[in-house]
Amino acid sequence: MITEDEEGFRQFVAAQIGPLRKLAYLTCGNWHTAEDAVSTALAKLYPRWRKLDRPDLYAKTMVYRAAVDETRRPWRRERSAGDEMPDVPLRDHSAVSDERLRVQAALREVPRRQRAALILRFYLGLTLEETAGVLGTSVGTAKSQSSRGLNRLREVLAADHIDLEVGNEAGASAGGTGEWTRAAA
Amino acid sequence: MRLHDVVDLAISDAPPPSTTVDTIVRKGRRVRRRRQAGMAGAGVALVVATAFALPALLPGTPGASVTPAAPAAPSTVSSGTAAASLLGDPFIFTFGAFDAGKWHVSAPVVASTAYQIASVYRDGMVTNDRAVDPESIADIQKLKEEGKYPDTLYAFLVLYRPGAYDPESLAGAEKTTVDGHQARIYADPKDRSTRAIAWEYADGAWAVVESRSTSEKTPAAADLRELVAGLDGATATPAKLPFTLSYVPAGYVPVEVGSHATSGLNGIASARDGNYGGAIFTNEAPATTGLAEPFGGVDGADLPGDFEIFVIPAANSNQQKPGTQIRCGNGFCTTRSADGKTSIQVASDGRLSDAEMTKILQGLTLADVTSDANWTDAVTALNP
Repeated sequence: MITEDEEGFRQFVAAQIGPLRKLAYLTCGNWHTAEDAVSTALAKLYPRWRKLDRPDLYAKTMVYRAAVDETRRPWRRERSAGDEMPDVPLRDHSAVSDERLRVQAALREVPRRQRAALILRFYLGLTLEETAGVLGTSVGTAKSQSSRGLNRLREVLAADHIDLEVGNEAGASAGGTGEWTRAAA
Repeated sequence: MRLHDVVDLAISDAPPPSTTVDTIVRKGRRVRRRRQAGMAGAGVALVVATAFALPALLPGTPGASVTPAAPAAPSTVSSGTAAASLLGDPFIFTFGAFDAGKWHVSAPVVASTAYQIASVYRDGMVTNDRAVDPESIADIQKLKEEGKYPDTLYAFLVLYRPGAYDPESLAGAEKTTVDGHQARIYADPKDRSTRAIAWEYADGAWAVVESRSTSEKTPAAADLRELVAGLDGATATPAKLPFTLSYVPAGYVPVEVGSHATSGLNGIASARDGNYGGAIFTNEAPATTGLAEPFGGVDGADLPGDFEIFVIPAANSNQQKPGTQIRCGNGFCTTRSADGKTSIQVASDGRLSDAEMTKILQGLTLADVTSDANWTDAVTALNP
């Protein structure tokens, strides 16, 4: 890789590593696994860097697959005293921690595939077509997965007296995660 | 609460990232290097072609109909029954270089707790496991543009210890018999350029040759069969290293070494780059039975809890700051030999502290890297 290309790759990694890490974690529920998934996916992207028009979508696809591959166990069984989410949320003295544990528990109640669709579509701001590409499904399936995921999350949060407001979030971008084209690199 | 707020709150207790841009670039270079070894790459090349004008273009490449020289590893082949003499303890080489038809197998340069690995070459095909100068890269590029560049091959022989390899892991392989041995022949249905042969060279002990080429036709399955009869045992020889250690962090054990190469398949991918040696330690010893592939797989993934030692010519290093001062950053520490010609690195991707990696380097004694006569067997070198 020539210096110019490598600099472009570095800029891409610097910009994308945060959102990819979130996608991986929200898919697999384990920060260590998420970190490995992102690191592996981006390393595999390196030799292909010049060949891809949309490395951002390629990276998201690789991260999603890696996160799924590395966690065949149901998310709720992931547990440790380290970085993972506790299996059974416990109320504590901190209102913020309490609420965090409640939304973490709610997200765990959304099936993994639906959860990934939800995150890609409504949090990372991908189009339906892009979401389908990352998940490896048809557009119709991606649409139903994200919609069902959203409904499930809303139900679970409502049971915990948290109202989920879903406005025009589609297309919104979290932390500059929009399209990364060759020109942008 | 908006969805963004829900997600942001859910991940608000995220630990600090342990992966840096530099770490990913470093891993990416490693992936690229391995793929270059398997596919046509302009960065490295070695020619074994007979029908092309390449020998004249590549400095250091012998003439036509070349049998590639094996790395200077133990290769004293003796006669005897393969089934008996091929069996050996961890970190022991039990076979030497051999030829079989158009195949040329080098002496093994990688040894682990479960297997030995050797590079495999073939007449008429290029194996990209040695660096070439920029002028040669231009010549190679020209040949590629003219369609005269030969197909490339990245192949290696893994001799597993008894029980170490699970032949059923080669899913979809044809079950057959080759030269009296139970065997499996495999062609990847999704990537016809990837083929493999596995055969049981002794009870419960399997040898596997994996081949990736740019040709869908070569090597054919019948070609792979030729390798089976060629494998024979040699005088068991310990894998030797050009360094010894006086300190290893508590709980870590050596699991794989490279002699005249860095460790693992990464060492095979750069087998003729003139590297001196390497070792991988882990605090979570990988399984030594039922394996489907060498540790870390074809992409050279890090083992859980591992750290790696690289001893290579300074010219091969991507750490170009001179001097014997130990420099740490991005999860690895590097130093140079007193004469500045050898780079020595401990890399853990942050799994060990800089202080621990520094202590390992401070306890490393380098031998004369140019003469393996005084190198130390791996078990002794790595167990202070």
